Amino acid sequence: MKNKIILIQVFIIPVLFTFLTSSCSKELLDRPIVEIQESDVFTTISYSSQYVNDIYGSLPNNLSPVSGTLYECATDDARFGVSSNGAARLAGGSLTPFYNPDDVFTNYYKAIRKCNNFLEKIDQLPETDHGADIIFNSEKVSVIKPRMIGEVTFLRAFFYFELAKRYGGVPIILKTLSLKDTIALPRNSFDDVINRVVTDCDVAFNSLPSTYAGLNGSTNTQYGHATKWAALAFKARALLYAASPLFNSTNDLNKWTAAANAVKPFFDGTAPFTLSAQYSANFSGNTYANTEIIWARVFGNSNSMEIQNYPVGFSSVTGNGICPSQNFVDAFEMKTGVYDPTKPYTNRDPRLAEAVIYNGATFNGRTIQTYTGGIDGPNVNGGSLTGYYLKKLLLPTLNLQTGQTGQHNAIFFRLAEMLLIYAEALNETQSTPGTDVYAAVNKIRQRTSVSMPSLPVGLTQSQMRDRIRNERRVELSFEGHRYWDVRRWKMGLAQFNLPLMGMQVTQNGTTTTYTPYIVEQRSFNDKMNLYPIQLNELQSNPKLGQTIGW
Amino acid sequence: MNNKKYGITLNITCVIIMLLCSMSSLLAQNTINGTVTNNSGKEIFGVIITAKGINKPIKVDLKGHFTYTTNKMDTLIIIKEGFQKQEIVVNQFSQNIKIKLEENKPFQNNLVLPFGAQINNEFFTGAISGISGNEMEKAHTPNATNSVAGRIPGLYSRADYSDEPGNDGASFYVRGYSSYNYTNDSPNLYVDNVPVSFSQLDPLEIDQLQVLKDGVANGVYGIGGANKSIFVTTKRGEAYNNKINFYSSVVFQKPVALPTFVGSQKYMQLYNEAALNDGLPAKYTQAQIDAYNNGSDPINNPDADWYGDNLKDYSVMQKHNLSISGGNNVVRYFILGGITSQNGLFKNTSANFDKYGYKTQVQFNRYNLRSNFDANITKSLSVFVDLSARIEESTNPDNYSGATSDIISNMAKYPPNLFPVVFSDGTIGGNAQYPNNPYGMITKLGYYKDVNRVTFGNVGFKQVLSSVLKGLSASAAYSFYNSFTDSEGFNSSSPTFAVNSYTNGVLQTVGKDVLPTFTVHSGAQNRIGTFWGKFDYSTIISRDHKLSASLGYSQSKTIPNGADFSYTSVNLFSQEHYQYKDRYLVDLGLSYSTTEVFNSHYGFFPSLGAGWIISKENFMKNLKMVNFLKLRGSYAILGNGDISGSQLSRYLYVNMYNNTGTVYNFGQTTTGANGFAEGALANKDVTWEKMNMANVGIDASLFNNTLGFSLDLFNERRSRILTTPGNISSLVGQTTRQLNIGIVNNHGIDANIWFKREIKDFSYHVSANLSLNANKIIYNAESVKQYAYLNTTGQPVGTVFGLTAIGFYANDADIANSPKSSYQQVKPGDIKYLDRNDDNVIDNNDFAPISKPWEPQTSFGLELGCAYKNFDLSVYFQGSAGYGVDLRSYATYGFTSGSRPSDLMNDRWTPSTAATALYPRLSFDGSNNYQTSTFWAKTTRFIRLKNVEIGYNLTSQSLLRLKIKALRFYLSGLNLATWSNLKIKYIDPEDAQAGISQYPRMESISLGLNIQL
Repeated sequence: MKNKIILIQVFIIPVLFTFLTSSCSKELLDRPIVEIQESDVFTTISYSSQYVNDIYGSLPNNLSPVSGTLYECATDDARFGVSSNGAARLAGGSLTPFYNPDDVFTNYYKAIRKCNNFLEKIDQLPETDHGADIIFNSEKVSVIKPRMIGEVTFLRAFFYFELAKRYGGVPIILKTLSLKDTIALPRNSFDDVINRVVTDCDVAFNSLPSTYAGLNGSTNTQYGHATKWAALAFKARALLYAASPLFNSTNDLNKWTAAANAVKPFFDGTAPFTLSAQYSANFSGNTYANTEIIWARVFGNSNSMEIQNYPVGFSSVTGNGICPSQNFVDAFEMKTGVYDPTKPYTNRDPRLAEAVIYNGATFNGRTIQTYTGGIDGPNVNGGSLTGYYLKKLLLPTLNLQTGQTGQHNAIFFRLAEMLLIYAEALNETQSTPGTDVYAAVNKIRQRTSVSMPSLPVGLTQSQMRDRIRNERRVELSFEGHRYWDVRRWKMGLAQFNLPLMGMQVTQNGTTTTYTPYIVEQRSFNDKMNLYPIQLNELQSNPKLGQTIGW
Repeated sequence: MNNKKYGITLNITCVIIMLLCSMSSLLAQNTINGTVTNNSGKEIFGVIITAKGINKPIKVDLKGHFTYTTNKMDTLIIIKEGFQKQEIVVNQFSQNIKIKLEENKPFQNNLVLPFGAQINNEFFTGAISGISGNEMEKAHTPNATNSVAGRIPGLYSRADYSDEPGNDGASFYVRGYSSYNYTNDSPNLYVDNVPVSFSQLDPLEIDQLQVLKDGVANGVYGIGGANKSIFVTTKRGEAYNNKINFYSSVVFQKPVALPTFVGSQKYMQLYNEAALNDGLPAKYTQAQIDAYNNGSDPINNPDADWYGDNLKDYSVMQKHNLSISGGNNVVRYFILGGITSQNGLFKNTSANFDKYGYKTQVQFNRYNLRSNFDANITKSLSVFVDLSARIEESTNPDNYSGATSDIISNMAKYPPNLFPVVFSDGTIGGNAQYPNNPYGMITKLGYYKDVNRVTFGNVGFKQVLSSVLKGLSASAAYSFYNSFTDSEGFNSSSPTFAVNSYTNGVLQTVGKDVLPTFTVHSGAQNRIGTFWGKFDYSTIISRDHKLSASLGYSQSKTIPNGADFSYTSVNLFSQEHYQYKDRYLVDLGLSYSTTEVFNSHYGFFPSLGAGWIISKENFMKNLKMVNFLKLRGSYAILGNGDISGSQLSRYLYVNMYNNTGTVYNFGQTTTGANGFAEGALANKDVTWEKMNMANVGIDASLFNNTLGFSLDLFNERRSRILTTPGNISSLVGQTTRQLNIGIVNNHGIDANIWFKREIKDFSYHVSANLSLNANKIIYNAESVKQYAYLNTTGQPVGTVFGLTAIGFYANDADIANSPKSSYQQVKPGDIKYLDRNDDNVIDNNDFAPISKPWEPQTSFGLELGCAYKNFDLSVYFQGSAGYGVDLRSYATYGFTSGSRPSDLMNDRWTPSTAATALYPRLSFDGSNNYQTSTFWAKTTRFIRLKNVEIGYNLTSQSLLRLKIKALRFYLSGLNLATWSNLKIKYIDPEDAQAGISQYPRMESISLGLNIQL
């Protein structure tokens, strides 16, 4: 009996001891591995290519880039129907270090991190397997990989430029930071950022194809990816901004020359683009075959732009959308003859009729009535505040009642902008505008569907500057330029402080009277040329320093 | 002889006598006559006497006399509940002996610590407070969490679940919050060392509920210790203390108060007033309103009484228990079976019984079964086998879980004048706007029943290893817990019923009757498996030095229902207790532990306690007034490794890449392109939250143990609180998963004091306890706010932010001269707020701390008790203070949120009552008035007369002749009165929605009987 007890005791000790020492088994604590790991993403082409897709997703949605609408609603070109809208508040001077509906600082640094992460790790992506080429979507990975590197390099430049044009110089970060790195980084200068953009664009230009047509069969499934010409166009735009008064206080002419040189291939025919015969052909539908567009964002079928912005008399329209201003309409020259206040839209630059819908215009099968009491008039709920509706960018023939949708390809770069960059940059380097300056502008004015008279000869540099600036406003309207152009020209006090005008239309029997009126007062001061850093960001990184003036 | 154990206080004389007696053991049989009395010489019943020499009890007569015959030396063990165990050495020369039992002294109760450790409270240096299951039973609530409010210093509770049968309960926290991650900060609940809740245990199967409050008490839990613990042990059998207990009670419950809403005429007048206030035309003409005057046309001019027609005055609960316990030195048992059956308040719940065979009452039935067995297999090996099972059935009307609150809400919301509750022919009132008539919801939509089945097994052993080393033993336990919830009930695609109303005498019917069909829903299962094993060693080094030490291992694995991974923790622990001269005390705890979220990344957690029993010092000997005085202190660094979130979301060290869906479009025919992206940055260094806990306490018992108190002061600092930082520079370019960066400080006091006195047949006692705590967020990495007063840093956890109401707008001029409300176009009689930032706009930038957190920071209880002969009376008050209540409900909404006005709206703002108004003007738009503001968020305090019990005990000798050891009748009341600063009698200070959008708070009267055989 006693032996038995001792036996039990002797037996228990090792058993318990085994538990004590070894049963903290790893297995018990192991977690099931089910997530996609970083190593999977950068060693598998299907994941890597999706990773690049995701970076494209960080590009601005240029059909509603700010507060669900266009930047023009924050300029003298338009007013948004709802006054609490962010763009409308920006136009009213609400920008502060606590409020900025266009504060993209965080989002673009997120996008930049995605690019840096890709560029750091994509070397791991194998191009061959057991000596044989890996094929993905009928292309060799050895072809796709350098191209993806080009795309991502280009996209990173794009994001940096978006930051710099808003905040001035920003910190240049070319690697992924962890919380253990020094993340309290000071700003680089604006010129540093532009230099980086230019360098990256050059890299991209050399790695990107001229077109994606024919790469994976007869249908161009890659349309919309960045091309070498997109990189070049972008570089030209960046250099133009860098040469502009806001960023070139000493008016260093070399900067203008650099911009002109960069963009010249688009002027001299080296780049394979030609102006579309129809101005309107650039802005609606599938622009895949368009020869003017250098790079556009391809959207799936939708009708939300139309539901918001069609004249309110059409059914299923919400109204309260983008209302182009009289200030904008006034920028359009007469094509022939003299302005007649009773027929304000007759004989105007044909681009006016493509940009806005005015009283008496025919749109989507009927005559538009923006007069007081008309079905599209100001007293209708959601009706235009200015007497005008937006036409450009909209698909003009949708039947919204049946829920019809259509494709929108929103332009990043098109040839007309390049010609205007060339003209603007070249004009600044020449005391008397040379023939190339005239030629670039006139090309645009003499587009088949526009056919405006050539610029008068003998303009001074300053007169030419004004004509080019107006040409930009007219030709590139509602494409997201004016908001930035006025800033880089430091013209905000002169332009963005003007009262916003509308056109009151009164119908009396058969007589129609047109009376311009003030829609609202606007407020702008010079510090708004650049955005303030939001206070939270500034506190997180005091080294950033607040934008000058704020 | 060699197997005999001697008390440590055995003196030399005794040894000599023993030697003598063993030599002469064969010489004579000696019969000893004994009497057992209490200290003052009064005889006591029910004493159990056993002798070590024989394995059966000695018969004790009714006067406490016993005889025992022996021819050798033996030890008599005398046990009586409430008295200290006594051991008396007798031998063949012993004659008449008189045994006086000493009542249990304060602070000398036995504490059961984690993993089977036990210690006398006298020598423990940590902070533990507790309550026995028998005391918890006095609350007569079905959910055991409702029976401890205010009873235990340091334990805060808030009954915030209403009193709906099967859906009641209270939230707990120990010593307040020390983290702003609420879900990670509730105390760990253990039942017999297994991490499960005690809420549905029958209090009568609970032996002790102990709250482990400080670092030493929680020390062995290591990574699970920071949240503190509520540690429940179940009852066990005692050798030769055979008892059969039968408990039976009937409880009548009625709502404490129901809100009163206006009747038809008033409703219509107020409706018109609200419409005019909002610039709308009046809806009712005076003639229409007058038509409701005579009540002669209940069809066209009804006055629906939603509460009266749908709720009974009272409901009944029954509770019956039978427990059998006892055993001998070899086998001991405790067996309990219990039934709790609680009925709800709804009327008309048998409407479908005849036709379809079911009732739709709110109903909770619970069946508890427990059998705890202990057995000595050999002289050194003992085992225990505890098996328990439970079935909980909760039923509510309507075909989905939780419909009760919707039914009650509609009673509060539905208008009285449009249709009657039910027409005389049985058709149900309602219209398109009000289709969910509570009467229809109760009678027409079937029922929903949750059945939760719990099986719980716990087995273990203890092996004394004296052959290896004297004082060494090994013990281990394994448990499984399985909870399976299945629901059944009615759930056709969607059962509906038709509702009817008359407009100008024309019947309009909306909807149609669609009968529910019987369905069994899918079940959900939770499993927990635990194991612990350890070596214990205890030794008396010398008279002055006593040491015990243990080394053990524990693990716990919870397998939750559904698509989630197991929750696991492992723990290597060690516990040491050292006593010098029985008055200098040291407790040491060490834990090396981790949980599954840290993947083998272990933490080391030390705890240290020290104590000094001053009353045992020589210089105190002459101070007769001090019976016991102990100072104690502890310090510990414990952890919280409980990271919330299911599946991968709780593995913070994992860097995940995620599918981001269609992010862009490419191609001439526009194809959506799928994206893949890096997820939030992993917290590679993720670690447990760290808790530094300090406690100092004093325990005292004075004046011949008639007055005593305990006072604890604690200071806690929780650091490394998992927090998503709001202040990391965007330059990183990625959000981060939670980091260990937050800090919260918490400190406070737990105290209790008691006084008891006995004067002949009369005895009385008073005991009071108080818990206070204050916490503060030191750092939570919040984003920079435009105004400093918007910051949560520096505020207590859970501080309520809102607007400050500064009266009502008096008139249009007042509105024009005041800051503009961003919430709506305000009118006179709307609430005016303070423009804190002086920007002339009232908006969320004017939010500031306005009320204490929703969780009490002060809790107190007061018990008064007395007994005279066979009668006893106890009165128990409980209360909380310093916490916030939100008064916004259907009783205060007026006409907003689809509500109907209550009688509170008699005090609404009108131009003529502007000076005295208590509520804003009537309106259909509440966007300005019902913002979170000082108007509705009130810092609150209350005292409840929680419990009164009068009992009559029969323990007479005549009963004993009937083999009945004790008999008790009692009458008991719960929630009998409440005093709060809210001053609205139907708003419960712990749950402002009770009776309005939730089941009411109930008060109850119990009649009960306890027979002990």
